[in-house]
Order: sequence, then structure tokens, then C-alpha cells
Amino acid sequence: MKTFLTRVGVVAMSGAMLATTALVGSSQAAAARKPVTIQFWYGLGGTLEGYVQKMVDRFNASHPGIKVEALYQGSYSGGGPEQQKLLTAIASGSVPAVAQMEANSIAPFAAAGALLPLDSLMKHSSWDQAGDFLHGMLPSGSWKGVQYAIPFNRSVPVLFYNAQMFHKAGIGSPPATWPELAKDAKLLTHGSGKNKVYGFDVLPDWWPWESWTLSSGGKILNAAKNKALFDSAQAVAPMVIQQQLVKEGYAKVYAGSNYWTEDKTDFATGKTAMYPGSPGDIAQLDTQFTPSVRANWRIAFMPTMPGEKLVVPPGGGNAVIFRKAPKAQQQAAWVFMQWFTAPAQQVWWSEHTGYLPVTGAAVDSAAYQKYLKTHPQGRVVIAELKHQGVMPLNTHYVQMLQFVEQGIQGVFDELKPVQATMHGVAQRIDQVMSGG
Amino acid sequence: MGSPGPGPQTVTVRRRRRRSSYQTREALTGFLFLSPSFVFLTAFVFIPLLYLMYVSQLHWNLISTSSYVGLNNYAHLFHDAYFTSTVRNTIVFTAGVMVLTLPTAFAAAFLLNMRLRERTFYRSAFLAPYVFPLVASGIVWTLMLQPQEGVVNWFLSLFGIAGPPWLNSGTWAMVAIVLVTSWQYFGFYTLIFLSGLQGVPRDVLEAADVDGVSGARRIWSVTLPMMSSSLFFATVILVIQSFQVFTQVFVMTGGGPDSATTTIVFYLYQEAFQFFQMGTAATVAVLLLMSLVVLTLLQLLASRRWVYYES
Repeated sequence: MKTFLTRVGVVAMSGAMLATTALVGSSQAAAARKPVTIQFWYGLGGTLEGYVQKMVDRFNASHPGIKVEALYQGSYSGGGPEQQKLLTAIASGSVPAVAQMEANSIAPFAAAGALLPLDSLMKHSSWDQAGDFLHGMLPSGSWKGVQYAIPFNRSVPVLFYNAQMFHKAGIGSPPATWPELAKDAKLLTHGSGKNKVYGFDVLPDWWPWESWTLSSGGKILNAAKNKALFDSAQAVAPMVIQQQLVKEGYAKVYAGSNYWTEDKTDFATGKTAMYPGSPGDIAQLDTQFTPSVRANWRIAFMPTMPGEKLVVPPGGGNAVIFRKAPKAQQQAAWVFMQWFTAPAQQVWWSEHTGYLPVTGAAVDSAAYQKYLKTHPQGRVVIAELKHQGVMPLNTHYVQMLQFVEQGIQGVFDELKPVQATMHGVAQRIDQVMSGG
Repeated sequence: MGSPGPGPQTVTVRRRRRRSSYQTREALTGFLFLSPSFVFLTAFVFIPLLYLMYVSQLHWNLISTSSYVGLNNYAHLFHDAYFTSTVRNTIVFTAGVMVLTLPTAFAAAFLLNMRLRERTFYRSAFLAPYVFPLVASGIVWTLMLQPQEGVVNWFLSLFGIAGPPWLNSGTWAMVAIVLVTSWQYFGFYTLIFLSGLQGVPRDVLEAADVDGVSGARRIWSVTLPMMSSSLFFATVILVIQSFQVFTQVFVMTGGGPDSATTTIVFYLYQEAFQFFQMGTAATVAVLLLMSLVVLTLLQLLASRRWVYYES
């Protein structure tokens, strides 16, 4: 009897052991199969949002171990909704793994230690080593010598123009300088009332302002980055020319927050002959082009003041990983970022949105070279990249750009005197930078 | 002589004691009923308010390590010309909205109080703007106020009037925001005044008629004083509402052009979420709260002279 009981006990225990082993094993297998889910916050709305979601769908389909949830958080522009949400997310400790960050905005986030340094990861990457990126693509993602961001959707400001209108006005080539642009705008403006076609639409925004200032031989800040220098007569010269065009009725300017979309619509529908914009505008323009503008739109370099060197600011967004995200999520985020910057994806992204491919490998790829044959405007943008400058980023830079934007509104919406207005802006940011 | 019973004094004491224990019980019940809202207010108003006062003494961008700067933020704001201009903008806005909204809402209420046949329709029509989300109506108004393509200037052109540049000009942008805000609030204040008018006792009005008081004189000397509590309520609420203006500014002008329509709360938002200066933003909030408390107290004091409560 005792032996029987012992046997029953042994059998029962073995059964229990087997059952628990099977349970543990299956739950481990389940855990292994369960993908790492990461949140990707982005700030591209409108037509571009669809392309971001498509990219993420393609990534998820090809990476069963990772699930990227792409969440639109409002515009990523400096001080915009996405940045506001990131600030509160970081403060509350509940961060996404990866996010898009506007190219001028890295400093406050990096200085607060919120971002994961990427240098060591980049060293072991197939596509994302420092030498792989095109000229000027990395500085905006670096802070105090450490790389915190890699390019994601990048652009430089360019001048869109309508070749047919130029031809009709007897102008042979797009303007290279602001005085030439002013002369051309006068020749291109015609009609009145609802049928008026303007020579030029002003983009009253801080982004082209960086180019206005630096391509006139002016400076934004001093070398120590603690004093504003953008109020010199030299630095404001392009604004003076543009304001004069507005006063004389040769240039159009939109007030309110929708000016960029309005400019794009004007150009796509043939209501203006020129406007400065982003290659990333092409996605929206493409949905609005009238047949004649579609056949005749061209891209030129941003104008400079005569005899000055062209400097264009980095534009668009970089991608960052957050320090407070769990390690597994950070790793998954890095896989996602590398996949996004790999040549095949860069070519697809660039072809669909107009944003620039960010690596040399992507530009040199057969697919992109083939694309350039049918889309020669892309070559102009790539060529302009060698003029991409490094902006004097500091922790107040985003704030300064907001002040500048208000000054620009004063100059173009209210036609206030240019230099005095920008002097007021400079004084205000000086006070902030000095801790006052 | 009978046995000495409990004297009158003893009875009073006992009664008082009974009443007092009854009162205690009642007070306790009262506190018990109040406790949920007290807990709620403590968690969501009093503690955040104390925290806000603390943050107003910091230099902090929400994610960096903060440093204590005492009252420096207050001193900085008082010397900041930009902040002073936002206070001026807010006062101009509030004055504009009050001058436009209160008389028109009163006139509309007076008309609605007459026995009009389409009264229900008018009431709904007047209240409709108030129930529109401000963001939606702000966007629509921005489009309607476009100088060249907007329907407002087109309408003005029918009468040979060249419309102003509206949101492109600092002065006209403020006018536009005042107009849109009044359009939005007008229905709500009409309802308040209507209820006030309907509360004016009929016998008083009839007595005025009998005494030969009619027309504007009757409105000024009888109707308005009798509904002064509604007027008072409307004034207090409208001042607070106007000082807190944000959505219209955010949607229609973004505080521009060149900060011409930047009001106190919009400035607070900019400092906090565009410039990442939480300390300054908290200071603005504390100052706004204090000025609203002072303004409301002043209004309450003044009201003793002119507000009549029937009860």
C-alpha cells in the first residue's frame, strides 16, 4: 500500500512538474513572439501624414518583432503642439520611444538630458555612420559635441518659380539676388482684383528669415551665442526689399497662421509667379496644381544679397530617442530609425514627399538617379545642400525664433519700419539670453 | 410649599444643551455633505494653486533642473514692456467687449421680452453662436475676414465701403477679435438679461404706468434698477471671461500681428509652451488671479450702491 501511494505521489508530482514546465515554456515562447511595441510621435500633418503612416505600415509588415505605433501630435514646428506634448511627456516620465524633432529645436531637450546619445549606436550602423550623411545634415542634431538626432525628413528653403510666367515676361532665368527678384516681381505682376497675379508671395516665417539674414552677410548671433546681431542694416536688407514689394503691390503676404498653405495654394493655382518654400511642399502642391503650373513649375536656389555667399538653414525634422524609454524600446526605436534612413526607404520617401534623401548612398542609388531623370528639380535641391549652414543653436534659440516671427509679422502685416522692428526683437531676446 | 423642582434656569440650560448637540449634529451632517466637493477642490484647486505660487518663484523649463529665484520673475514682469503691452491689450479687449456686448444684449433681451410671435426662433438664433465651438467659429471668421477674398469686405464693397485689412493690421485685428467675441457671447448675456427682465414685478411696472412714467424713463428708472442683480452678474462674469480670452486669439491671430492682440492668457501660454519659461508663466497666472480677485471685490463693493435684491 505504501509503495502504491509513493508511486501515485511520484506520478502526480511528475505530472505537476511537466505541466508547470509546459506552462512556463509556452509563456516564454509567447513572450518571445510578442513584438516590442514602441510609440513614434510625429508632426507632419496634411498630405504628408498619409506618407508617414504608409512608411510605418511597411516597417511593421517587414519587422514582426517590433510594432511601431505612429501618432500625429500636431505640428513639430518650434514651440508647436508636438514639442509642447513632448515637454509634458518628459516631465511626467511617460515618453514615446522615438519622435520627430524640428531641426532647430534640439538644444532645450538635449540640455535637459532627455535624449539618448546616438554616437556609439551610429558607429555600428550600416547606413547611419557620421560619414554616410550628406553635407550639413548632422549639426542640427548635435549638442555640445554629442549626436542626439539623425536626419529624418529634411529640406532646405528653395525658390519655387513658374517658368511659363517668366518666359511671358521676357525673363530668361530665375533671380539669384534680392534686387533681381524685386525687378522680376515687378515684371511678373499683372491683372487686378480677383485676377491679379503677383510676382512674388512673401513667406513671413522664421525659416526663410535664417536664409535672408545669413545670405546677406549678416549674422544671427555673436560667436558666444549670447547676443543678437540680426538687426544690422546689412542683415535686414532682404526684408527691406520684400517689404517695398508688398508696399508697391508686387508681392502678396498673408496674415494669420495659415500663410504657408496660402502661399502654396497661390503658386499651385497660378496666382503668384514665385514663392520661397520647402521641397516638402511638393506633396501639397501636387494635389492642387493647375495643368499649366504642373507643366511649368521649377525650383531655384534662394536669393542672396549681391556678392554675398548663399547660406540656407536646415529644415524639416530629425529623429530622436528618449533616454527614459525602456531599453528594449530604445533598441527597437534604433532599428526603426536605421530602417527609415536606409537607401530604399529614403528613395521612396523622397519620391513621394519631395523631402531630401539624407545619405549619400540614397542619392547615388540607381533608383534615385532614375527618379532624378524624370524629376530634374530634385537636382537643384541636392545641389543647394552644399550651402546648408550651421545655425547658432542655444537653449533660447526656439524662443528667439518666435520673437523673430512676431517681428516679421510687424514688418509685413503692419508694414512697420524694418530695422527698428528687428532691433526691438533683438533687444528682447538679448534680455532673455542674459537671464533677465 | 411644594418640593423645589428644577428652576427655570435649569430648564434653559438643558434646552440649550439639547439644541447645541442638535446643532453639532446638523453641522457635522453639513460638513459630511460638503466633504466630497472639499476633497475635490483641495485636490484640483487649492493644492495646484499653492504649487503654482511655488513655481512662480522658480527658473524652470519643465524638464531641466529648476533654480529658486524668489520674486525675480515678478520684478522681471513689472519691468517687461512686452508684458505691459499684453495687459494693455487685455484691458482694451475687455472694455471693447463690454461696451459692445452689454447694451446690445440688453436691447435684444428687451425686444424678446415683448410678445413677439417668432420669439422662440429669435431666442435660438441669438444663442446659436454661443454653442458653436470657438475654434470652429474662429477659423470661419478668419476666412470671412480675409481682406481680398473674404465675404465681410465683399459685403462692405456692395455699399461702396473699402473694407479694412482686418487681421493684417494691429488695430483692426483687435477690432475683429472684439467683434467676433461679442458675436459669440451676445446670446448668452441676452438670456441672462431676459430672465432679469421677466423677474421685474408687473405691479411695479403698472404702478409706473399709472404714474405716467413711460418709454426710456420707465426703462431707466424702473426696469434697470429692478433687474440690477442680473446686470451685476453679467458684468462680473463678462469681465472674468474677457480677461481670460485665449481661443479667439490663438485661432485667429496667434497674438499678432506683431503681438498687437497678445492678451495676458495668450502670453501665459506662450511663456509656458512656446518659450518653455514655466516660472514666468506661473507668475503671470498668479498676477492674473490676483487682479481678477481685486476687480471682483471692487465690483462687489460698488454693487452695494446700485444693485437691488428683491428679497
